[in-house]
This record gives sequence, C-alpha cells and structure tokens, in this order.
Amino acid sequence: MGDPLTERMRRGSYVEDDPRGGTALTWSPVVEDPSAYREGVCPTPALTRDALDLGACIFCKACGRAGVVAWRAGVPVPGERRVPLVVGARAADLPALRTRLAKLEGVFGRSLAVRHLDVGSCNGCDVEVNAATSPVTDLERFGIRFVASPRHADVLLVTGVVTRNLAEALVRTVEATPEPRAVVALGACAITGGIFVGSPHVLGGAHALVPVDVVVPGCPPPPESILAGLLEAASLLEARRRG
Amino acid sequence: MTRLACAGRVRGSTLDVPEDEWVPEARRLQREGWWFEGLWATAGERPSVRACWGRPGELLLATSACPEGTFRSFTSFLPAADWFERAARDRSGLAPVGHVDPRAFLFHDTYPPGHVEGAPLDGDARAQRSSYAFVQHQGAGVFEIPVGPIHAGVIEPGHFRFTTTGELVLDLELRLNYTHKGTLTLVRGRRLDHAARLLERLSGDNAAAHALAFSSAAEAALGLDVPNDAQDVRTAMLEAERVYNHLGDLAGIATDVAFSAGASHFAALREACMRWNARLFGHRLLMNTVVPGGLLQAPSVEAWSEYATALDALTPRVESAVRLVTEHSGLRERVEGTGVLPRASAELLGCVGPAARACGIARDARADAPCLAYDRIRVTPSLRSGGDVASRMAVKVDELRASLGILRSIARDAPIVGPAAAVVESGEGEGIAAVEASRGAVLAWTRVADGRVVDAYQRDPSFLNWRGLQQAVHRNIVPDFPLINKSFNLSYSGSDA
Repeated sequence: MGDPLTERMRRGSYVEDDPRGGTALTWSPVVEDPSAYREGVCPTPALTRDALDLGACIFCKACGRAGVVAWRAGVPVPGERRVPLVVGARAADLPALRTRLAKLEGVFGRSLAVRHLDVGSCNGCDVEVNAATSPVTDLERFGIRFVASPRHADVLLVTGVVTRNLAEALVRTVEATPEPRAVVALGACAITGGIFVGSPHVLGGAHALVPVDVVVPGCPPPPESILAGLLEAASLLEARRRG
Repeated sequence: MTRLACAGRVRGSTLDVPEDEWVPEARRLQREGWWFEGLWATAGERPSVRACWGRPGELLLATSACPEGTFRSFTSFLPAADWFERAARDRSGLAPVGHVDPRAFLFHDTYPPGHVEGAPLDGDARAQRSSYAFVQHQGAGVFEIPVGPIHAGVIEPGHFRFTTTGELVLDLELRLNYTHKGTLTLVRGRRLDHAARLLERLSGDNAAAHALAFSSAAEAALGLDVPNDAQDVRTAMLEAERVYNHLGDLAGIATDVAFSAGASHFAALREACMRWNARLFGHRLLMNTVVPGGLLQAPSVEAWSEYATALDALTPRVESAVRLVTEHSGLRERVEGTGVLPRASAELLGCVGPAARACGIARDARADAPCLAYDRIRVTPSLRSGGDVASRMAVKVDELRASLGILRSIARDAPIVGPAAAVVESGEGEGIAAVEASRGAVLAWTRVADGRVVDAYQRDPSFLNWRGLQQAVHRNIVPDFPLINKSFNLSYSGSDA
C-alpha cells in the first residue's frame, strides 16, 4: 500500500516560487487596424472600432484573426476603467508581494480571509480559483485563505455573470460581509457580463448591483492573475485603513 | 422515416409522430430497447416537441407538432423526462399535459408566475413576484436542512433541501437553475464559430466536450468532412479534459474525507495537466480552439514529442497517487457502501457517464455513438456494479488510465493540422452528435443556415445525473453528503443552461 510520508518525501514540495509556473501567457492586445473592424467580429461586446475592453474579452483572438487587433505577448496596458485592472503577478514582483502581505497582519490582525461567490459562472473561473489553492500555486503560503461564510471574510471574490436568479444572493452576501471589505470581480462575466451580455436572464457584471473594487480580466483568469487581484484588494483595504 | 444527419459513424433516423401517438410511440421505442436521450421544444409558427432516443450505434429523433400548444407528458412512465419537460415548458410555453409538477423550473421568484422565455421582463430585478413550494414531509422528529444557493466552499450555486430524521436523510429536493443564463436562446442567430465560443461556456470544465458536440452536430448538418488528423487532435482534447477532471474529482474525494496528503498529489497532477492543455491547445480549460470545420490551433511536432515524454513521466506519478488514495483503509471505510445509486434507479432516471457505469450500465457515447476519432480508437466502457462512491472512484481511475493511454498513442502519432479555413458561411441543415464528456454524454442538436445557428439544444450530462444524486443520498447520513456529491461532481451551469 502507498504510504503518505514516503510519497511526500519522494515527490518533494510542489510549491513554485514563480506563480506563473513558466507557462502562462500574458497578452498585450492593441487595436492596430481600426479599418479592418466589422460588426460581429467579436463574440462579446469587448471590441469596438478603436478599443478593446479587456473587462469583457474572452481572449479568443477572433479580432486578431480579422486583423483588427495585434495580440502580442506582454503585460496589457490597463484601460480606462473605474477600478484598477489587474492582469497578473510576475515572478519579479514576488518579494514585494511578500512584504505587502506581511503588512496584512497589521491591517486585519490576521491573514486575509476570502469568500468565493459564484453568481452565475460557467464554472471556468471556479476551476481556476480551485487551481490557485492547489499545492502548486498555494495561495495559503501568502496568508490568503478561503472561508466558508461572508461574515468571516475581508474580500469577496465574485465569479460569473449576475443572473436574475442570483441577484438577491449577491446583494445579501455583500451586505453580510463586515466592513472594511473589498469586492473583486474575477473574469469577463463578473466584470461586464462577458459573452452572456444580451441575455434577458442576466443583469451584467457585479457592479450592476454592488460596488466593485478590483477587476481581474480573463476567461477564466489563470491562478497568477487571481493572486494578483487578491493582493490588489489587500492593498486597497490597507490604504483605506490608513485613509 | 427520413435520415437524420449524425456526427460520426452513427445511424440516424427521424420520426414524425402524430400528436395523439406521442406517448404510445415512446412506449413502443422503450420496448424496442431505445433509451431516452432528451426532450426539447420549439415555439414559433409551427410549435413542436422533439425527443431523442438512442441505441448502440443509432440515434432517433422523434418530432411531433403541437398546434394546441401542448404535448403529452412522458414523466409518469419515464421519470428521466421530468426535468426535460419542465424546462421545455419554460423555454417554449408548450405545456406537458399530465405532468404532475406545475412549479416554475428555470425562472425563480423574481420572474412573474408562469413566465415563458421571450415574454417581456421589466422592473426591479430583485422584487419578488412569485414563490416556490418545496415538498413538505411531516412526522415526529422530521426536520428540514436548507443549504444554499450560496455554498460554503468554492462551488457553484444551487439549493439543497434535506429532510432528515436525526442524521439520516429521508429525502433531498434539489432546486437548481440559479445560474440559468438563457444560453440556448442566446446562441440563436450567432455565427457558427461564435456559437462554439458561447456553447463551450455552458460548462467551463467540459468546454472541449461542449464545443466538440456542437461542432460535430453542425458539421453533420452541413455535410462537412473533417480530416482524420484533425479528429485525432480533437479526440486528444476530449481525453485531456477527462484526465484533468477525473484527477480533480479524485483530489476532491480525498479532500472530503480529510485525507489532504492524498488530495495534494492529485491536485498537483491536475495542475500539470492543465498547463499541458495550455501548451498544446492554447488554453488551460481547452476553450477558444474548436470551431465547426476544424481547429483554430493545434500542437506542433515538437509539442507532441515533449508531451509524449511528459506523459511517460506523469503515469507513474498517477499510479502512486492512485495507490495512496485507493488503498488507504480510512478512506475506503468512508467510500465503500456510501451513496449507493441502485442500478434500477439509474436506468429509470437515464443516468449517464461514470455514475451509470459504476452501477453496471454499459453506456459510453464513445462506443455507442462514435464520432471524432472513436471509430478508429475503440473504447470499452469501464464497469463496476456497486453503485457507491467507491465504484464511481474505481470507474474514474480506470478511465484516467485509459485516457492517458489514448493520449500517449495520439502524442506518438503526432497528427499535424493547419488552422481551420475561413468561417463556414453557406449551407443549411439539421444535425446531432453525442460526445462523451468526463461526466457522461453531451448531446447536441442544432439547425444551421447561412453560417448561423437557427436553433440549438445542448444537454449537459449533469441534467440527467442530478436526479441520480438525489436517489444516492437516501438513507445516508448528512455528513456523507459532500462526499457523495463530490463523487458525482455535477455541473450546475451545464444543467442550468
């Protein structure tokens, strides 16, 4: 029979210092040829003639194939949005991240408590939230832990487009979270409604019903982006406390 | 009877059924050994209801006109039809006559009573306009435990109403559709490639299966041939999806019995597989790649060769993680005999996938309705007879090994495919496909014209298996529910559509 200790020693630690794991790609899409733009190029409301809103983008790159947008590897330039657009943690940021997290204790008197709230996702974002807690990305090493109740939470991590059937649940969950709190909209659906915009059964992004503090684009955003979004939320709470 | 355009090597037929023959015809098909695959309805000028039936190597689509706005219900003799008929009623307004459950299904309390898809909706999206009556049980010591829609973990939303006496579960009523997004209506009129992007998001963790089922149905409708090499790559995507999902399920079961040492290994393996998804197909969850007619990107020779090497290294790691978990006496004590789904119930409810195979039902769309590369890559359904959590685990372990084997063989063949040609813009037709996802078969039906979707129906396997979960929980204790639930690991979004 397999023995947990032997197996643990054989495999060593799975935790990676680089939250990207060396595989994830970050894109820096830029509208290059507005004249190639035609109605219906993009399956979401993300693309207009001269701008690409990463908050609605599913990163399918249909606009790239149509020649409107150039998709280059790199860190995207945050667009004009009401809230910070967080795109992903880089390995180089890690020491700084650790320092910022150490400060969390001064903010909350404990580690950062996150409550995940799915208000209508396709479950893709939830898959990636789970991946962020895997022993490879291991959010807990940064002092971030997932809690079972909004009453225990500092941050609400919202995934999915807000469906009519969950509108009430979203508002009540936010109300049940004590101040100071931050709401993170994770993924195109939670930010703007993404590909589901146009259905009469959805109300759009979380901001339609509750104030959103941080948005993390992606469809779904990979674990390193989730980490970066949560850190951004933590800094925000810290700044508010200093206020 | 005319020909039905089916994906792959499947014999398809259609059947026009007079309104008053709808029920007798269904009973006749049942007697002839056809199993029920699904039911949906279309409103409009010529309202009609459709039921899909299957047999090994065959699919049959029965259609009946509903000039009076009604159709006869199957539910009293075919419990599997229950949710299909309620969903069809809410989507089309066509009423299933003789159905015992008039309660709203897709639309919850902020919708007006009797709301039908397409009827105007206005005003405050949070104001309560209707109410829902849960089944009530009465008696000494009987009490209810309401759970959800917001659950305590990183899970999708849904409401579970347990009726218990002490620790024992007497009944579990599910109220789902919290994540109803109207996807099947939203897809109408979309370009075929955009429709694939939307439909793969019916259930993100089964994105490849949904995109492949829709694309295969659309290709059948248009008579498009996809070369073998492209079908091999698509098959690799489907098997890669099964691998990362089954690894996640095994991690989840270990987590739910608090065996975190075992869970860690599976979670790490799963992460490794998701990174390979990104490396090979451009997306960790296999999205944005499949389109009707082909693929938007595919692995290079070098990528295949590195993958083949990586699979050789992954396999012993999978095997030792499997040993660690399946041979652990504490874990076995929790999973053996827990959450038994009786075979008879699974048959009545039309359960599919590992949940059905764990109670001995030899159904697997890869063998029964072979499309993609499954006419060349033969799959033998993995079977167990216990119907408990341990049996579902054992089936998933078997399938994990088999899928890794298929992936190794495709990676060694290294099929090379160019990106799909321009978007399909002409032709029209109606097609159907069944693709075996990690939870069971995704059934896709679509009618397309001039490069756009006219109408579509897509059944996630979870829509059938949720009813099986309800049965499997009976006579178990409440604290075992998370474990039983995880052993099914159903999709809410896929079911809520």
